Amino acid sequence: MDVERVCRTHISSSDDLKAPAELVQAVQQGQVGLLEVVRALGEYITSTEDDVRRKGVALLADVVSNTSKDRINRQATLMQTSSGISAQVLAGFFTDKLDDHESVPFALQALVALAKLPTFGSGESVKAYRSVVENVKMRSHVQSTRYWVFSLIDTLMAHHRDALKNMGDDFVASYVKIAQGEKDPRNLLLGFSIMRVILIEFDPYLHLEDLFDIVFCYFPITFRPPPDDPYGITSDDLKMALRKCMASTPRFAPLAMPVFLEKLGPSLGASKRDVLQSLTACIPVYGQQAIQGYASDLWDNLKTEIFYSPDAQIESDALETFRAMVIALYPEGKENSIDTAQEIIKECQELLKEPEKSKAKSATKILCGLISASPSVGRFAISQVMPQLFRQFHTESEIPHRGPILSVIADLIKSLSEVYTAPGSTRSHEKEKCVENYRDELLSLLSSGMESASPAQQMPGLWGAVHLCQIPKFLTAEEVSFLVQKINDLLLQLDFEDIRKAALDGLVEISKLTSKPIEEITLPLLFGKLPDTAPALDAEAERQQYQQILASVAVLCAQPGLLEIMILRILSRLESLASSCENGEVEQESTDQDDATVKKECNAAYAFSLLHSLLSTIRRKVADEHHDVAKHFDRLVPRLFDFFVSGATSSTANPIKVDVRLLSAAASIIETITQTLSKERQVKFAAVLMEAYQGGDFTQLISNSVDVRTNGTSVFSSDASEALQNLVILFSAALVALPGDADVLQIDCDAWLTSLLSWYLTGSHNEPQKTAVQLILASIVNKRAPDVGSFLERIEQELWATRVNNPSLSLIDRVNAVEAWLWIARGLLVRNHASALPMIVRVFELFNEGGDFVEHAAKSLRILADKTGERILAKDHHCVVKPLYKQKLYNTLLPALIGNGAKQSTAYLLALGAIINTIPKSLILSELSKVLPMIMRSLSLSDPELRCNMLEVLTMILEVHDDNADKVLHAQASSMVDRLLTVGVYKQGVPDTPAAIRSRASALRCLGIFPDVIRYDALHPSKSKVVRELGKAVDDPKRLVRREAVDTRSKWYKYGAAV
Amino acid sequence: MASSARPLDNSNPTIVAPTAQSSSTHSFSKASQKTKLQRLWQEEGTEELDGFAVGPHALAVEEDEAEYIDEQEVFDLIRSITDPEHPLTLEQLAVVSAAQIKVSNKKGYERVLIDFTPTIPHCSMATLIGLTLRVRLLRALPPRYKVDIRITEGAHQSENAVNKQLNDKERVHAALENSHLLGVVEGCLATAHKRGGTIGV
Repeated sequence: MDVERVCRTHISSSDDLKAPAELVQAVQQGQVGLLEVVRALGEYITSTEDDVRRKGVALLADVVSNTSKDRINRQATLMQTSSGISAQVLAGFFTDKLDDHESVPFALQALVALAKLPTFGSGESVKAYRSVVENVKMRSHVQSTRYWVFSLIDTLMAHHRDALKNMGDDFVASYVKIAQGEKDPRNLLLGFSIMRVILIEFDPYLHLEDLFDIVFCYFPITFRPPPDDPYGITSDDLKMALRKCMASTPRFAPLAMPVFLEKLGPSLGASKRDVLQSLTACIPVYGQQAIQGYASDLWDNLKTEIFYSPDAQIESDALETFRAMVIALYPEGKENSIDTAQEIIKECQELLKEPEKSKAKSATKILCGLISASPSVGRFAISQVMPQLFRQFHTESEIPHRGPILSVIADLIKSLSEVYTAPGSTRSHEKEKCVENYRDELLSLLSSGMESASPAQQMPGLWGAVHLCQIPKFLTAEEVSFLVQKINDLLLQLDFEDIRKAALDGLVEISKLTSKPIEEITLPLLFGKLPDTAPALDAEAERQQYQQILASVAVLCAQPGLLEIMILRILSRLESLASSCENGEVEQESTDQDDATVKKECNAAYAFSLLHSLLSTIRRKVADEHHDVAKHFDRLVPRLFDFFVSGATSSTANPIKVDVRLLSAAASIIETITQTLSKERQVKFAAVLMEAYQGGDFTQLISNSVDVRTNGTSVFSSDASEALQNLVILFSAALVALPGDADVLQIDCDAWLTSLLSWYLTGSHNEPQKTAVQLILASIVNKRAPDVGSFLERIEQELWATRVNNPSLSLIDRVNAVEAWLWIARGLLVRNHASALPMIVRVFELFNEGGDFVEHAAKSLRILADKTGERILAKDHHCVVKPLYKQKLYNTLLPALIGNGAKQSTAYLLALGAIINTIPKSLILSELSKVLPMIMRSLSLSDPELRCNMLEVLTMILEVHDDNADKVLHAQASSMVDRLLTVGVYKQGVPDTPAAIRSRASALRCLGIFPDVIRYDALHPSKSKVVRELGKAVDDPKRLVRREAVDTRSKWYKYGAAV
Repeated sequence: MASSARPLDNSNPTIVAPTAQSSSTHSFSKASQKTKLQRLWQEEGTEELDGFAVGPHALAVEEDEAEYIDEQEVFDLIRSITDPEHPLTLEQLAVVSAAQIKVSNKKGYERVLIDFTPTIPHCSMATLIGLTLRVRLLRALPPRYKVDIRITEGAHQSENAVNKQLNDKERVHAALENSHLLGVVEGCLATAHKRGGTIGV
């Protein structure tokens, strides 16, 4: 490369201050030496013409700063040996250039790059710095040039700090001059970080006042970033950087504290928070000595914020500052006089005399602050306050004040237990023994609170008790048991829901510390309260009680170590319920048939609740990754099989044992726990499972010594009873949770699936049976995809051609077939199998046909979005799941659905509605202009379920912030509003199904989003109409809908009003 | 808030802890056998659908049975309105309570009567609180309900004057023409949708 020519051309012809890219690249790659560049530029960088010289220096600087470190390094070394020119020389050159106003920015830029080199020594550093001080007049340069000054000093600080330190006061004094008056946020950030180093390491006490001035003149920062700030500096960045400076030396204290106090009172909002947070940062640094003198002034100021601030954030910032102050005033391990604290405690005590007032709450927070900040002050505070509270509690003439008193006590105990249990805490009850003297009084007060009839006392009593248990090594086991008994009573009461919930939360907290009282007291009590048989239909209170008990049990037993007792109790309850039903049946014969059905129904619901609580416990444990679930498999699964298999095979069909809904609940339990099995157990379980279902021998599956055979009829034989066939539900649940590998599941896939499918297609089966088979099909084709090739070929003919696409078959037969078809497709789809998409697209062919079937076919696409499918076709169910399969599917499907624009038949709308919830957001947004009209049209269809799906998606679309979507939405806003009003307002005469109610509620909620996302000018004409129409919606017969209507209407009232 | 400009009327008001009654106790209504049979399965059935969480609105939805507006529902509408002076709700300050609300659903004679209790007898905010309640119910209740808003007897010095003002349509409308006043009312109403969730404290 002809370096001279390149440089000449650049300087003479270009106004660009950047070096030519080719030159930079050549230097970077070592083809051209720096020396050559310097030589080539020689005449320009010394030129007397401002413009030429500027360009020359800029070019050289740009080359230097764009060349990587080691490259310069090596070249600098090379230059030294070959020609006597070194990095020092370059540095010297640029340093000299600092007196040339035109070249300053480029010289600085180059020096920043050079200063990072090891060959750049302390001599150069000092020289460069001095030259900056002497030659660069900060005021006369633009922001970007000043930025390079700060960068250079920052770099020198980083690499040559000692050299600067050795300059001593000289450096500090000159730096003050440089930094003074800076206003640019980017420069300030650098300036602050340099300042912090100076303050911490240079000990600049001679110039302390100057430094103080140039730091505190910015406080508090009111900067607001401009909307298009290229550097993205926020007000918080500056605040944090400044705060670090202010908190860098205790020497600032005497100067700073008056400033803080002066600013604290009058500042507002964000500034006030800044002052408080800065104080919190500075106080620990300034230290006890410095703070002492200001403590009482500071307390007066903080008090105002804590007691009167209407802003909860300011209040909590003030409390933090207060804590910092107390920590600083009373450092641990020193004897301190606690006069200030004493004053504060006295004030709080005075306020606690009216414990129900709002100031008492603040006083409590202050006391908690004292407790957590200092052991000695905390102990003193407790010794003053507790006896007073006890006295008040006993002498209080007005019972209503007892609740607030307990609430203060509970808060104080809570702060104590939090201090002791905080990670890394060195404080403990054993060391401090603050509440030791009050043990009996606390136990008696809190328990009497829990025993009282008023929730206002029960709640704080309860929480006080829980926090008391949480103080490590304080209560004895007996004392904890005593409190747990009281909490149990609250758990069992029926009147107050939130007390019950709090009691449950409390017990969970206690069980984390010790599960013994829960296991020995609470659980036996709860199980004991469960009725033997279900309460009558009209006894709703009793039914509610057992439901609540089971819900509580489900939560408690999800804690480690408590599952076993639950399994035993629930199963025995279930078995005794079943046997009582069996006996009851005989006498029921004579009485009213109707009554018997109702009773049966009640018992079934009770059994369902029992199974369901077990299910939710196991699910919780699996979700929390407890490892003790699998070991309960043998205790649970065989017994569940036993229960239902004996029911299905016995001649006296026990109504509990043959109920499909109960079978489904048991199936979910089996599915969940089977997932957790180890490989070895899976193999064993799969073997006995297949033996039972294929061979008809259930003996091993239910591990019962009694020989249970299905009398030669297999579950899958054509003459099996419905009860026997229902057992497929359990089979399916176990299978989908097992891995499909050939060593676990020893089946001939093709034959096995074919026979399962033909069982499914022939004979009449109830819905749960069908679903069970569909899930097996999906799961097995997914897990065994390599083995199902011939099966897939076969179903082309046997499932699609002769069944789905065969108008001569009955509707129900065809629906069954298309559902099986889609489930198989879904199983394959999840692993991105090549057959999946063509199978799904084929269903669209059916849409051209007329008749009822089309609608069913369209709706059957919901299988692709089915939630159960989502659950079982997952990795934890041992399926093969490929990422992004959904994107692939909908990239094909969405265009097919929205493609034929105006001709869209209802089938397309139904199909879209069936799957729209699972279509990826981004895809919908990119096709929004086509999808939105379809959504609008489908809202006028009569199917409320479909409307709900559409509304869910519409809500999602409205809540997304996307410029493209925004345009489409604004264009169609007013017609959307009209349509939503039609859907949302109740019309007499339409049957009010849960789905219809939900669709009204979601339409109204959707309408409530508009004021937040659509500009008022786009909807201004609609406002009065919407407000008027919503006046009808607030009169909806359903409470749930009215609630949405009220919220949406309030938003519309405010829409467009000045904020 | 105007706290720094003017001394507070009541700087240390009493706070009550709100406690929710069991939501289902009051819904044990006379239901048909069919509804009751459905209800047997309802709770667990909905939970099954979405894994663990029970959607709050999935519960207790019954078919073809109108749910009338009752005292609890009206209370829910107003309990979380913010007091003009404190970051506390009217419920927390015991200005309103479920017991102070009466609802009549008699056909053609639908009425709601609300008593409210200012925290102190000389509270200058009483009219403003009343006006806020009025606006909330104007917007949230069907127009067929006639709404009366009164100060609890004996709870305020100028009880009668305030009552008159609050129940005079013309004067309420005139007050709402004042955009500053409306702004303050909107400010208090900003938290009304919480229906029992607390603010602050």
